[in-house]
Amino acid sequence: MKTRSSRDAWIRALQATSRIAANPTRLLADHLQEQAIAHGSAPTLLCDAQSLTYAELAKRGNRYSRWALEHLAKGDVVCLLMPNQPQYVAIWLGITRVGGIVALINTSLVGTSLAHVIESVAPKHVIVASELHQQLREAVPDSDLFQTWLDKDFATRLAEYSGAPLSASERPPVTIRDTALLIYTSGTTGLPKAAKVTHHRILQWSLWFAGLADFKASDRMYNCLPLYHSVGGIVAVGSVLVAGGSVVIAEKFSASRFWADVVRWDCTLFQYIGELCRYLVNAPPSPEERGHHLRLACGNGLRADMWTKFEERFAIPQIIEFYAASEGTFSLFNIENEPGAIGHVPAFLAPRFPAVIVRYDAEREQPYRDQNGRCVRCAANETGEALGRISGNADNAETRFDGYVNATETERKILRDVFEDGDAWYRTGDLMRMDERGFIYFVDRIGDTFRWKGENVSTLEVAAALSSCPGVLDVVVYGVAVPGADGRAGMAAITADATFDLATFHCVAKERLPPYARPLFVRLCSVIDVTETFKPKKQALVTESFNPQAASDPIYVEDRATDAYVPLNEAIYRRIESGEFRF
Amino acid sequence: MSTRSRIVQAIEDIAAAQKKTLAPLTDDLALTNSGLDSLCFALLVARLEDETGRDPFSESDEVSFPVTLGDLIALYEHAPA
Repeated sequence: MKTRSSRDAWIRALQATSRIAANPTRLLADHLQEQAIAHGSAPTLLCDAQSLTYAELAKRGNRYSRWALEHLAKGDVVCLLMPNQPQYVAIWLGITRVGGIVALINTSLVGTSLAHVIESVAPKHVIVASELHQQLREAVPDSDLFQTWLDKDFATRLAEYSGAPLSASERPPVTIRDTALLIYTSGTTGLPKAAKVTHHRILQWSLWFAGLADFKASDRMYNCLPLYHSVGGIVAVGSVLVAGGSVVIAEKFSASRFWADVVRWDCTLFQYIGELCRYLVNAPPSPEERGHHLRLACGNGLRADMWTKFEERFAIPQIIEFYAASEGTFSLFNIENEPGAIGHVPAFLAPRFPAVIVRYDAEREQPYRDQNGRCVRCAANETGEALGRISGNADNAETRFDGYVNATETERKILRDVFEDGDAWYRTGDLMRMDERGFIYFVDRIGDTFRWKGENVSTLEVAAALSSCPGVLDVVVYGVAVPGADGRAGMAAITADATFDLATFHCVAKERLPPYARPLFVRLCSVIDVTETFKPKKQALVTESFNPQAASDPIYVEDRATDAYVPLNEAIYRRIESGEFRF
Repeated sequence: MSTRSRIVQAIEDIAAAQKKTLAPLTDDLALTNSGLDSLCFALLVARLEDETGRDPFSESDEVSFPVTLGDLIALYEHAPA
């Protein structure tokens, strides 16, 4: 049963976001400048090495704005490749405020993947942390295309600029409709794609969450998610800052340090992904685990089996689970504490709700069309693909699809003539179902993508990287379920000639792929069966998984202890099944 | 005040406060064409609960939002106090 308090939460979120369009030149940086004037000495972004007050954050942002005014034209792209730290946020706030576009680069990318994400957005400048400089140089040795700024040199240059608030003449006409950030999404097709994130979207996410969860100046967020993703980088930061609160930026997640950190910083909010909750639930007891002041955990991917364990063991008063995509046209929120649901559409929102679940044709890998060529809404509890309505009205930023940098990629995600001639819907690529009460559940990613360690992994991209290994003839990559772990682990079935060497293969995987995308299992096949249209028969491989009894080919598993692929025998298989084998 | 006039008054007040232009409020008006957005619907349900003590949507999870204004009025007329 819905309560008055959940309805009030929806009203706060709707009210907070309804005012964005009325003032199109008021960007997130302006909200923060106002906070800096009202209570400049209050803390904003905190970490052990460096903590900033609102006044200091605004000052730094203004310096980056002035640097950008000298070095960039409106719409020029700057790539930012830096580990989590407060400075990261100041950089993109400052540059985007005066019309620059900042592409947030995944710091775990290497080699061709890193080169691709940088080259695909044609940056004028790359700002890189010293410790990642070598990684950048190896990926893109020819740096004539852009100017590279090492973070330390950059900080020295910045000191030359004034940190005072920007004057009217220093504000080029930048509005909420302009693109601010490029955030990469692995999606269902190929290499990462740069999704355009407008200033409107940044404000929409920030103000919506601040309203929904009633964030206050006294709130403090513990954020250990990467700042280059939309949740860790924008939602977890922006939503707290518009309310005048503070954000602890942890460089990375650590299950053993987590509760001590949350207590030490006296955090009231935690932004999770489901995998982190699972690590915490599986970790040994910590003396601080119930001695915290968290009032809310907010995030996505907390599965039903972990929800109650997480909530009860750590005494979490409230959990808000949500679903959103960087480029999506709608979001879902479960504020009713219903374990496992990713969202709920209250009755009063249903008339204007911009999403629908439609019947899915798994053979054609497309939404099903009836005899009139229209899509069909799923019945209660029926699984289908979630679609988000795309507004024909470009001024309606709420349901506008800003798409990707690459126009062909944008068009591939749009489905037309769905319920009537000329309508347009955004394909999420996600299978969902809704129960009779309006609670929505995530079922799976469609097609060639699986999720591991909180990242979507494109099997096409992994297969392409592995194919470069000497001796490899054919590669098929797929995800397999591992007991006790969320998502699916990568497995590669390969055929190879006599020159193939497993140790070399391991080196190639490590060189070419970020850790979450590397196959944990390798199946050395004598032959990979194909369909009549020469597509690999992946389903049989998925079914046999890494069970040495089921498969007729030798299977290897990545062993962290020896840093090598080792034969997966019965003993190891049993250790994996019982959750003793660590990945 | 009748339920009908209470609802019509609430819609007019909310639309004015939110600067929305309303379609003529006839019984057969589809609510999606009324000019009200999601925030207006949420405010309407909240205000009617304050005024009447009734929220038909919290009585059951399976009540779907009415299609027309006439349906909405009927729902409140028949909702338990």
